[in-house]
Amino acid sequence: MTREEVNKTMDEVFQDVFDDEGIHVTESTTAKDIADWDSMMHVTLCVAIERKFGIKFNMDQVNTMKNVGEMMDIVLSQVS
Amino acid sequence: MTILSFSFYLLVGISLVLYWLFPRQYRWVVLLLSNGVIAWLLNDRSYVALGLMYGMIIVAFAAGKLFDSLDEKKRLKKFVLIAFLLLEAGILLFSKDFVYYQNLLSISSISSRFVPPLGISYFTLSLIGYGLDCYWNKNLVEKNPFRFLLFGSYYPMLTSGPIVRYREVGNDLVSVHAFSYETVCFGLQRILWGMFKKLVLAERIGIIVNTIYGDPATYTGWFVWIAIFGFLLQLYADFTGSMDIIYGVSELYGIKLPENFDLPFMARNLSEFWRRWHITLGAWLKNYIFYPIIKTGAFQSFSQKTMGAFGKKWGRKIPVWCALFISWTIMGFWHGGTPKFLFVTLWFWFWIVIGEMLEPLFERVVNSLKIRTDCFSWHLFQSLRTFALVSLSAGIFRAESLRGGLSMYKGALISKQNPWILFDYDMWSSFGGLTIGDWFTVLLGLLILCAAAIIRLTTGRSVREWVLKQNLVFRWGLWFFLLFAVLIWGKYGPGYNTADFIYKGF
Amino acid sequence: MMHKRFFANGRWKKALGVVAFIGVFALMFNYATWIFRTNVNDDVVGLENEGDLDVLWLGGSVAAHYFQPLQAYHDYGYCAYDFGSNACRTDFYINELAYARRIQDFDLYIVDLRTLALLSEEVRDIEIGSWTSQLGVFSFNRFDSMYRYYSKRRLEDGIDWTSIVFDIARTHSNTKALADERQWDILYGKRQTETRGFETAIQHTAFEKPNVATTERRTLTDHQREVFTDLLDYCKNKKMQVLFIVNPYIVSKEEWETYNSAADLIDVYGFDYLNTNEYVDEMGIDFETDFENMNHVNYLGSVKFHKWFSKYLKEHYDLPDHRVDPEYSFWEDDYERFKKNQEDLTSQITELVESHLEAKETGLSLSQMDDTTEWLSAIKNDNYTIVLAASDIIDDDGMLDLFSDWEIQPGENYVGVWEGNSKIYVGQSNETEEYEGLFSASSPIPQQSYGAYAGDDGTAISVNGIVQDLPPGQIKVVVFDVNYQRVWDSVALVQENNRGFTLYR
Repeated sequence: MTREEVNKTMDEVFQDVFDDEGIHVTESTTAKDIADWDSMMHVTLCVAIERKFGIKFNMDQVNTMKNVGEMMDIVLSQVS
Repeated sequence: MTILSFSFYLLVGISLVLYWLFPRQYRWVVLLLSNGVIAWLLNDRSYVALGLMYGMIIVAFAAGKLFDSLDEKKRLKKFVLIAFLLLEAGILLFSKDFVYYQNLLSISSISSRFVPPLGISYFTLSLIGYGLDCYWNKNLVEKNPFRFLLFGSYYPMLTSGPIVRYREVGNDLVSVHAFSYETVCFGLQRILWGMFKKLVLAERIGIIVNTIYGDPATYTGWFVWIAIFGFLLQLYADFTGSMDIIYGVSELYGIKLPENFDLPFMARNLSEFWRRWHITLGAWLKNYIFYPIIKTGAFQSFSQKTMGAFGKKWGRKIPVWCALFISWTIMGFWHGGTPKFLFVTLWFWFWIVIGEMLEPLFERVVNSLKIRTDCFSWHLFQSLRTFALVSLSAGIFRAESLRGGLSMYKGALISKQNPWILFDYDMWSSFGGLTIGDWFTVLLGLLILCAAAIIRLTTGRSVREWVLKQNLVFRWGLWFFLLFAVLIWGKYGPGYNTADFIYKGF
Repeated sequence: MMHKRFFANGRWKKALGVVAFIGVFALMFNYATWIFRTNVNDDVVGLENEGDLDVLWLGGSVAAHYFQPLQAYHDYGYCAYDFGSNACRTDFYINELAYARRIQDFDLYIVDLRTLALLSEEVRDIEIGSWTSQLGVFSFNRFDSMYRYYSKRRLEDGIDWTSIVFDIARTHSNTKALADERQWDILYGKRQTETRGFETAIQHTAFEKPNVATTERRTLTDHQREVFTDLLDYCKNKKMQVLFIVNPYIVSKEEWETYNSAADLIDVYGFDYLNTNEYVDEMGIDFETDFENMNHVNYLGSVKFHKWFSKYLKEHYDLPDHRVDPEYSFWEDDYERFKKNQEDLTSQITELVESHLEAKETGLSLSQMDDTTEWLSAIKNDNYTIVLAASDIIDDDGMLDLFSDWEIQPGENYVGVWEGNSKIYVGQSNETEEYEGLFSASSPIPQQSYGAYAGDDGTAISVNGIVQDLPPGQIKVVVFDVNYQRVWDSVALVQENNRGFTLYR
């Protein structure tokens, strides 16, 4: 899987979780950029990503992920 | 000895001189040693308390090492984790909640001889956080027990936190600090600011609040609302005052601790309030309770079911609300576990959930009434609403018991409404022994607090940095004013027992 | 190398700033402390604003009540100053002397010896607090006095050092002080006494002459000896001329013996000693009229003492006569004002003492009276404390009108305490009433106690624990004279149908 592919799949996950077709994420997207991305949605989002890519986030990773780029790093390190 | 006593600052002074005189790489050792002395004195010279504190720190350190070496043996590792959590949380719950339940069940008194170490509520959470971090990520394990000992027992944090993560402050505690004149000045200024809030403001507002709470039969109706709004202000000045002193003392060593407050009364809803008030406690609950619970398999399958039953939008929310309920309940137990504290914390849960449920309805109302929401007045309304909801919870927090607090509210609602008391200046001018001068002082203090908040909001920097940019006469005038305000208007000295910080060793 | 870096980086500016900041703070702290010090004694700090003086009279409050410097100047021409610090003890004399001597030197120091007998090893914060707050906040003399005080005492836990060293910690809550004009005078160096430290006492309590003159000795306690030899050593080292004095008061035999022992020690050092209690007859002091309280003469007494003693000073010491020196003429001006004022005060104290003597005469005659009405009107006197108890009184034909001043109501149990017209306590109900208290007295006199009781089983009154009780239906009254500290009469007024009250003793 390439980084672009991951990014594209990420978009789908975000659109699904936040129920908003207009969302497009980049490496530098953070919780501040998406209105509903609060601490309550954070885990829901993580779990959705886990399902989509068939991977598992460690709790420590859930606690420390700051932006979409970091999420993609973890995804790439586990899928390839 | 408390962080308000003269002897404390004498010791801090001695410790600082040694700290800055030693070669840079050994400074943390000076800190570790002086820490032992000061922590012992803060614990009223109790070796038992000090020993228990160091014991709990060593247990956490050992747990970290075990997680590291047991990385391959998953089951054993999990077993160690559970044992670690049970031990640390058990001691915390025993020291805080046991007294209450013991009375409830009228078991003979064991805990009367048990002296919990000061700050156990704060450092235990920090230690548990460290243990979980190590369990999840072995790269975070500390190898040097002495560095970890300093982290666990760092004396500024014993009075009322903050709750910290080893990965965030551990390194800063032991890293090489070069002496900086500005940092030390900032530290002293922050201590002074904290003293001002506590001794001049909080103690005075406390007199009003105590008078009303002390005689609920006489003070009914509007008095109750005055008391609970007053108490929230008192709590704010008291708690942030103690935090300012703590950060200030820490800064004297060149060490910055994570902030606990960020203008909480600016918050527009309760969730935001808790991201601005007691920040480190909220963050701890989020990281170590809320997230792990939601991520469990059980919660995930629960989530699948609710989504099936209520659709995607609500189906996702229901498990979150459940996890929040558990978090807030744990927060209640952390505060003391009595019905009163459980009410106080679950109150927030209730309104947050209600708020989310009714959000679509609110939006429709706002839209149909064409209420503007992008203006100051709307933000003000939201902040005031949040303040009122928080006050109602704080009012119970201040009461002797849940029953007492609720009956006070009942008294406020049922008894004769008495708005005229607001204008009974004769009564207020000697209320609870306060004088006109005291009221003037309270008013001035609140104005200064507001001014500081406005400076922070408009400049986006700390007030101390803003002051540093001013001319000498203004700078010195300001610091002298605060110094003498504390010296003269401060409620301290023989004949006046300064109350402990409300959140001291909570 | 270090110093080059210091100057190159502009660090010297910061260092200078720190020093300046601390300096300004210390200065302001000093002022703030002085403004809050409410017990600052003008007799002490006023010394700084005086001209040249010859004689310093050092002591506690005693030093301010006996000797009239302006009168002495007028009569003999020497300039004296009453340097009295309230409640001051021998402990503090060295530091008081150091303070005074930094201002100027004196030809003669008169030191009140009386406080030596009062020395105790207990720590009393109030003592150290009130003395040391006369001294500069950061002065060495002040810290030395604290050291001297505490080093000679058994220290127990709980001494709040911070608030002793920084006395603003004790005083700052009294913000009322800031509203007092006089408190600010200290900033402008304006505090001064108009009378060179002399204070006029317009109070009176009657005593009997203590006949305790003795030549016996009482060994000084280790503590007294230590404190006193320190003082003697100090005076000797500074080559001072000193007269140790004991003024007339209600002296006890034990104290007199202590003074005798101290006198032996004084003699060894070659200083002078004078116990003026030996000369009270020569002075013409009348113990019935001339005292404010046990420890101090009133103005009448001070006039008699002063007359004798100012002459004694002139005869026994070589003191200059400044009356010829025009630079001292303002002393004469001050004297004129003083004299005018004293005339007023003399008539006040004379009137007061006369009224007290009259009350005594009435008091003595009370026990001869049998008529209830006459007796009741005689006891209505401002100088008496009346203690009453009544139970179950019937008000036929306004019989109780006689007692209306004391608010006695029919039928109910009543206890009341009245000082003249002013109500100390009145309790009235169908329940049992009781009240206990102390007869007021000018401070050092041992206070006498009373109790009053009214219930179903009658009334009772006690004085100093001795109880007298009677069955219901009567009023019990005790008449106490505050100035003489004595019960003049104690009666029962028994109600007899249609005939009013009959008086029984």
